[in-house]
Amino acid sequence: MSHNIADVQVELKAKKIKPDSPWRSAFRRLFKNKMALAGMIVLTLMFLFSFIGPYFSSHLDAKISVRNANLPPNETHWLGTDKLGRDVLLRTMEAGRVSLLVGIVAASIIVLVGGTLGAIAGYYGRFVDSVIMRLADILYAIPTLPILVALGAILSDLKFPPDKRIYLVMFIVGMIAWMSLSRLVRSQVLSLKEQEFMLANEVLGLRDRRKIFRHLLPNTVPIIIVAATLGVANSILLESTLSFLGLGVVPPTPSWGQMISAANNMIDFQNRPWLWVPPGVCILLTVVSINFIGDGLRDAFDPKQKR
Amino acid sequence: MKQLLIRRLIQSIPTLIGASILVFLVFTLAPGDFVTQMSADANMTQERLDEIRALHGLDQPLYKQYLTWMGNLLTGNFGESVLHRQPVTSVINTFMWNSFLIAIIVLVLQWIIASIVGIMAALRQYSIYDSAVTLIVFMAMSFPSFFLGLLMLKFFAVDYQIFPLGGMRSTGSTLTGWADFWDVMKHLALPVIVLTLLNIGSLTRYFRTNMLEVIRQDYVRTARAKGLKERVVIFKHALRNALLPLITLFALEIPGLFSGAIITERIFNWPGIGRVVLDGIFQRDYPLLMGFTMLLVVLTIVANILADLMYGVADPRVRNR
Repeated sequence: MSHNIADVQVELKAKKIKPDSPWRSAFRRLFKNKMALAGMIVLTLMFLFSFIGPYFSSHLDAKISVRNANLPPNETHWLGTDKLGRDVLLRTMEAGRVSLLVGIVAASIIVLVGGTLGAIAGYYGRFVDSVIMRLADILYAIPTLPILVALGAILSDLKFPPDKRIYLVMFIVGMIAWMSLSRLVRSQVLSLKEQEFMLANEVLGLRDRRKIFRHLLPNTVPIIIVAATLGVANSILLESTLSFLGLGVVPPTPSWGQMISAANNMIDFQNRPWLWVPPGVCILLTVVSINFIGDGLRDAFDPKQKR
Repeated sequence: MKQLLIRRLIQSIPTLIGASILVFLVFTLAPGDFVTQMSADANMTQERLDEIRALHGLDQPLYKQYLTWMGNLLTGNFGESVLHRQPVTSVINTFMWNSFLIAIIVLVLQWIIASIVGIMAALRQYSIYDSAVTLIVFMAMSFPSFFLGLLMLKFFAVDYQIFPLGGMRSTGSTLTGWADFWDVMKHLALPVIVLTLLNIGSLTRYFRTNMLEVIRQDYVRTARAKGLKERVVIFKHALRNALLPLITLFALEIPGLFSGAIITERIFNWPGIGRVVLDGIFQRDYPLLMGFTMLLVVLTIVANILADLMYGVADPRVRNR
């Protein structure tokens, strides 16, 4: 063959092939993953349904009317009405806003707290490390659901107004779940710390804060993204469980879990499934799609670990 | 081995103390106690309330209350449940075994099914069977426990009355022997199915991933090259190594055997510890909640140590590190 290197390079230039950046190739792999793609589509639809959907509803200005209470699904109310005569479809959309928002904010707390603490523990090591990791151990040892439910009951005792209460629920759900991310980030930082670019940073005399937030943490972004995605799914589940027990988001603010708590009433449970099945399906669809996306992201960022 | 055990035991002391302080603070700083609930009673004078508080040591400073509580815990005195008017230990003892019954059946079912399904999926990677398993596994992992429970209850107990609506025995049941056993089994079926479905997802995935990892190892190729039967390669060479990391997982499931399932027990009205704890939360039965939470904390810590030790026993590479 008379092909020499120069020829090949000319060919490459002609086709404008650029070597892929890791990010770009990760996203290419993600979009090739059918399950993850399906997850992204369903999740986008879920967001549109919850945030844009209400504007298309003809019941947006409807007043509470007991005359229309507990209607089964019909032409004007596609999913029927609840005990106050509110349209269940509209209520499911509005509940979606709250549930999705709780998931996202709680996941942000997980990332913020877990990422920062993990990086600090890994970077400083020694005493700081032991204190932070012991704290994580302690929180790990306490069973999640009983303590979460107990905290919810305490919120009820403190009598927070419903609109402020959502924020506390977000905060509690986030603070109960940051530990596993902090462990992951810590171990990543421990190995990154030994690499040459950190030595270069040392030579440049950068401040610790800059080293941690500009040089170490960006390298852990793949794990953080995966953890954040799965954190959203997990937080939505936790919030819905708490609200189902009547200890999370409380009326008049709707959330999917809180809508399902209608099933605690025996008559509603047996004879009016339209009250509690739609929000349950919404939770299931949302969480399944997020889990698929998270799984796809993990594969995309880590092509070596092929499944 | 012994050294590892001792080191881990010593390490777990600060964790235990930290967790106990946290649990104590959550429940002590919570507004209101059972005495506050009594004050709704018009016959109660403020003096009487103070008297009761003093009797239970609630007028002492926080750190003193903590030390008393902790000292009692260490001697096995968990205090008295306000709701049940019995020692916490006997309340836990009464209801925990009902939860244990479900949990142990779920554990066995879950490991058998997950191992078969997961290994089959790994051996047929990328087949239709594999994709179907992945899809179902993800669905199972994403179901909110209460929604799955409600759907099952609606379908199997309300619409088609195959299983009873809830409880542990039929109301007013005077059955004995086999008839009683059969009655309990019928009540047990739905919660067991729900919990197995909920837990099976992640375990199946672990089995699949581990098996896939092991199958690509050199020693598996060597075994094949030697001309061993595929059955021997899979079950003797591959499976044994794939099971190693799962030992840890198994040990970590131990606390779950005793913790009860708060949501599922509530939905199926199962008289387990989870339901009792939930009632305790609604009734502010703090001694019961604190005792139960601490019991789980200890179990979790012990399970963690056990997981480390068992892994060391099973895998010499870890032991000699």
